[in-house]
Amino acid sequence: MALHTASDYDFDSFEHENSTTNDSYPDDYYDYHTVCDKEEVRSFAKLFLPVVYTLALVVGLAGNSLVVFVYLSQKRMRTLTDVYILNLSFADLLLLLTLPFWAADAVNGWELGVAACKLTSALYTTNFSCGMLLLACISVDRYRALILGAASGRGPVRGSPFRRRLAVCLLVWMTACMLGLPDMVFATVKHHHGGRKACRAVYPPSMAQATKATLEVVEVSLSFVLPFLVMVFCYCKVGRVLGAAARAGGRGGRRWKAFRVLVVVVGVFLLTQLPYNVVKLVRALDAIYALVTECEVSKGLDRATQVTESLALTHCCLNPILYAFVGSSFRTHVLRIAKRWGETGRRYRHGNEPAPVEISLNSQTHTNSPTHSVSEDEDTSTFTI
Amino acid sequence: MKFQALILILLLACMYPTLAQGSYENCCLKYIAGLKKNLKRRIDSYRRQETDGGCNIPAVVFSLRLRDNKVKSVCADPKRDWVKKLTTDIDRRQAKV
Repeated sequence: MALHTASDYDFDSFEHENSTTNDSYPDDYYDYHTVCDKEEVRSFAKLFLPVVYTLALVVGLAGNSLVVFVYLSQKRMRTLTDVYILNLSFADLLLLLTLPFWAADAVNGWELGVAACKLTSALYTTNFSCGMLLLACISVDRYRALILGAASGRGPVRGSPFRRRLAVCLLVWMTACMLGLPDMVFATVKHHHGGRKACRAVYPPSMAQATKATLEVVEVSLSFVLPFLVMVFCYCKVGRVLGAAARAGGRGGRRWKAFRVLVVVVGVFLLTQLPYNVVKLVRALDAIYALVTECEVSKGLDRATQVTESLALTHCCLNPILYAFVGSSFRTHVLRIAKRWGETGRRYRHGNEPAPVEISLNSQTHTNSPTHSVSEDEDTSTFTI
Repeated sequence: MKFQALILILLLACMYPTLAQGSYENCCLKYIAGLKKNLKRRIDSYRRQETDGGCNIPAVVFSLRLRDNKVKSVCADPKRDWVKKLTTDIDRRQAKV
């Protein structure tokens, strides 16, 4: 059936320029399997991505730099979660800094050269996955603090040696850097038919399809499924304890609030990451089996990728709210800094030196002894509430 | 417990590579069964679509110059004999010129 080549079609037609004069369009002219023109998708990206990326950049920069500033200037790193939150904001900031480049890429094509392409791609992947890993780490630490701390009878585990914190952070960042490594290797500036340049990974054609698809499946499972499962496992356990305590203490209690925050944290993660990862899986299946043969469907899938990827990126704007701002101690610090700035301004106007009071003020608020048991420990800031 | 879980995550994560930013290039999605000879004569040139990460199927893209000087692209399967024949024909013709 597939062999209707030689008999149906005249191969020598090039040599016989004058053999037929009938070169009117055939009836199936419009059914020709022509190249799917993605110009529409690119012009959609030209409008959509700069707008979304600018919004994300403004909101994300404000939130995350506030977190970094407050943590570095005021808040003491009491828990491993604090350390993770600071690292998360740092990763989010680095991720956000790549967005202007992607917006420019969407508008003009990539004009910044191969080195910048490799660096931006690697930064993007490194920090995106670093964020996901850190979210899972935070849930593990909260679980450890509440459940394992309670089980050992020591109460929430407070503080860990500096060296161990450093080791954990180094491990997370090294892993994330490793994840960015393939981008370093494969990302390059591809000159497209039509003169447009794009920054993307170019795989050797021999390995491309199977590898690309496998990589995408593995990526979905590791940057989404695994962190999600870890989060659900840890937060379910924590939630059960908190829920029981909340029922005992009434709905208005801090534990009830903490419980709700956990539900929101998991819900927002699911809401922002699930659509993107579903689309990625569909694309991976499409890459293996070439499922999409209709141009309109393919364009729809491309638009869905852009929209869901932007949604997934908004998570790095929400992290400061979900993890730092919900914490009452964090809000106290922000207010204190704001007040101090106000005072500083007034004092400067009066020609006085600002008093360096923040350290003592700061340490005063963290005098909870680590011997509290879970039932009487009112400070739920282990979950940053 | 925490460290075991972390190490597990990290070990698994090491195997994970990356997804390219979408470049949304024009791609062939399926192949034409064949070309009638009067259309074959109108082929100007061809290019190859590689599966290097942007498009999903390998293809030969023929550019057909139509009567009103519009250019139409047609996707063909590089594994088919008539496609191989056509591309070698075009190569030979261009070598002569």
